[in-house]
Amino acid sequence: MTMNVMPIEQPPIQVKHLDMAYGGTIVQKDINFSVQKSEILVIMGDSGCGKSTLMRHMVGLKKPVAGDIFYNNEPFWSGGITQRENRMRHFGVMYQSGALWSSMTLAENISLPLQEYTTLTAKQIKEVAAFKLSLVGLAGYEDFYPAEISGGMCKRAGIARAIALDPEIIFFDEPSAGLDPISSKRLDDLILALRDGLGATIIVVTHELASIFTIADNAIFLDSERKTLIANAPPKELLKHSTDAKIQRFLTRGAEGVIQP
Amino acid sequence: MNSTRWQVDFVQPSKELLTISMSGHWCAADNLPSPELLVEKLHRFPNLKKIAYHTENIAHWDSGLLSFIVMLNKICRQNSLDVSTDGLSKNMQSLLTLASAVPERENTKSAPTQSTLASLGHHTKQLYFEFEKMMEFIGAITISLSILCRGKVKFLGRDLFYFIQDCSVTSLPIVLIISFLMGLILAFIGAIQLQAFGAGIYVANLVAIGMSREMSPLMIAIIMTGRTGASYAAQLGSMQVNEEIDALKTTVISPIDFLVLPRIIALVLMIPLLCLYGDLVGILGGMLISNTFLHISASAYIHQTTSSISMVDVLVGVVKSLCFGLLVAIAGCYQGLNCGRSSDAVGSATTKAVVTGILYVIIADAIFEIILNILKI
Ligand SMILES: Nc1ncnc2c1ncn2[C@@H]1O[C@H](COP(=O)(O)OP(=O)(O)OP(=O)(O)O)[C@@H](O)[C@H]1O
Ligand SMILES: [Mg+2]
Repeated sequence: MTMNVMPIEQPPIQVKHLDMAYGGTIVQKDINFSVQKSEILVIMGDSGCGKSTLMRHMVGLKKPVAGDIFYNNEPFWSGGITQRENRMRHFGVMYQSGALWSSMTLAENISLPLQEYTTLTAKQIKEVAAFKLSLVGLAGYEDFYPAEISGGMCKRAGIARAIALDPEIIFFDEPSAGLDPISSKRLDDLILALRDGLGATIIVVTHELASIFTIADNAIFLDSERKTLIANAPPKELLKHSTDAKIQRFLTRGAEGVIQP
Repeated sequence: MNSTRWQVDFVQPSKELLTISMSGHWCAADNLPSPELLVEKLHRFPNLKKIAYHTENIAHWDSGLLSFIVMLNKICRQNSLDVSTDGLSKNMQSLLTLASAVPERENTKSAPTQSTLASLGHHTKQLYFEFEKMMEFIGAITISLSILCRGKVKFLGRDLFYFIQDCSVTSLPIVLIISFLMGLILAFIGAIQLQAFGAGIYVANLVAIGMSREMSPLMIAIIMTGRTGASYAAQLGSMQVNEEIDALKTTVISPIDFLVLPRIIALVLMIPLLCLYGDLVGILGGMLISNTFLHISASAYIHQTTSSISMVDVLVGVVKSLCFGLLVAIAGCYQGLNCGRSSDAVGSATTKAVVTGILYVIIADAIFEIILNILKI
């Protein structure tokens, strides 16, 4: 890939003893897991358990209360800000709400990181932006403003922006929520292609069971009641071997257990 | 309607069992009874062990009935009574099961009650944190400015152009009206007093010096707080709500470089021009009054003005307004970037931007007066 301006490194990600809190309210405690290079990790858990919060910690938006995240064995939070920012340049982040820059068109949204971090010419940037938009099925929407497109389209444009720089590590927060089944399937294909084609490591927050079983190499499960990570294994194995009622219910849409008060 | 109105009867088939029998219309709009009803009954039958429902005769129901039953169940639990839901219809049961499937979150939001002294301490601490954060923000702006001075432009030229336009051309009408009226008012006040001494012509001095040194910079700063400072806070605040600022951060684009700098630069560059424009319009306003009420000819007024006003007066005004512009822009951007994550928070950020902006401007003006007095300028 010619656009890949960053040197390719081994990015095993390790999260060690991470505690997360808002103010004094603990969201999750003692989270431990690691992600291999070119692996697709799915973060699962019930709504409000802290998946987005975990992502915010991993991408450098929120400082953990305790513990740290290690990228290539370098501590992410206890290191300096410069070191952290250098690391963050290798990330692509897609937000749950899309978070497109509303004063810019879709093409400009995708171009901004390219302008900032590559030496491409304006014409090349335009082409790349158009290509990334077409990857998420938004070809022809270059000159639309985020306010002029639907919620699902905003989400897809957010995905296009996240992959603008062909990052090494991509974070997706519920990319398929609010998408129709076909777009959702296309998105799974895209995630797999990004991993297979570019060797990206991908961390996805998702509830979509079909997509969990198709794309995930590994999964972690956060629980809002126990406030910690309760499983870390490939989803298919979890389905077969996990004895935890909550995980079973989650992976079978509640078919296994009875809803209990 | 009245015949099918809700009705609740308490039947006691045995000493330990109480059946709550409901019939008629049980909709939220029907002015349903208070669940406290049960508490009274419980007092009357101290030997109760179990509660059952009887709902076959209910003609019509909605969530009003369900929340009534939920409350009853809660009361029963508090009094450690068994509840049998067998008497409820299947639909009611399934909705109730769903409602209780996820246990209510404990200590969801605790608003700790504090003594006055403790809350005073809390607020003082908060004030200190706020001050610290503000200083950090100003420090970050300074760093960004120094990077800019080294020739690294990190914002879009288009943005800067847009903000410059917004602070200049689009602001002219309101500046025109206010400055003209200010000149008019100054001249009016002066005219009445000065005429008594036969010194009507000195109205020109009053207006020229008053406008250029004080009124024009101050009034324009206040206009721009309401106009531009507030809009900066609202823009950045809604970007905060939409996670757009987070998206900038994770793209490793500093929001200060990208969003704050063009806004500050635009206002600081344009506000002195507005101030000069305000001086001019204010003097014209004064001239109108002198002409109509004091019958001072335009040429005499202009002559008096040019001989009374010095370059220093104009410069003092310009420097003041530069400084005010900076304060207004900083107040607006700071409040916007520190906005919470709701539409409510955007509103309060805007209010805060205006209040703090005006406060900073007035304080700075007072400091200016003291310094100018000491320096005898
Ligand atoms: N800014 C905040 N301030 C305080 N508490 C917050 C804040 N954001 C989230 N929380 C709390 O943190 C918990 C986790 O929130 P988070 O957004 O991470 O959940 P989530 O797992 O992403 O849920 P969902 O699947 O619905 O997106 C929630 O219980 C929420 O109440
Ligand atoms: Mg979330």
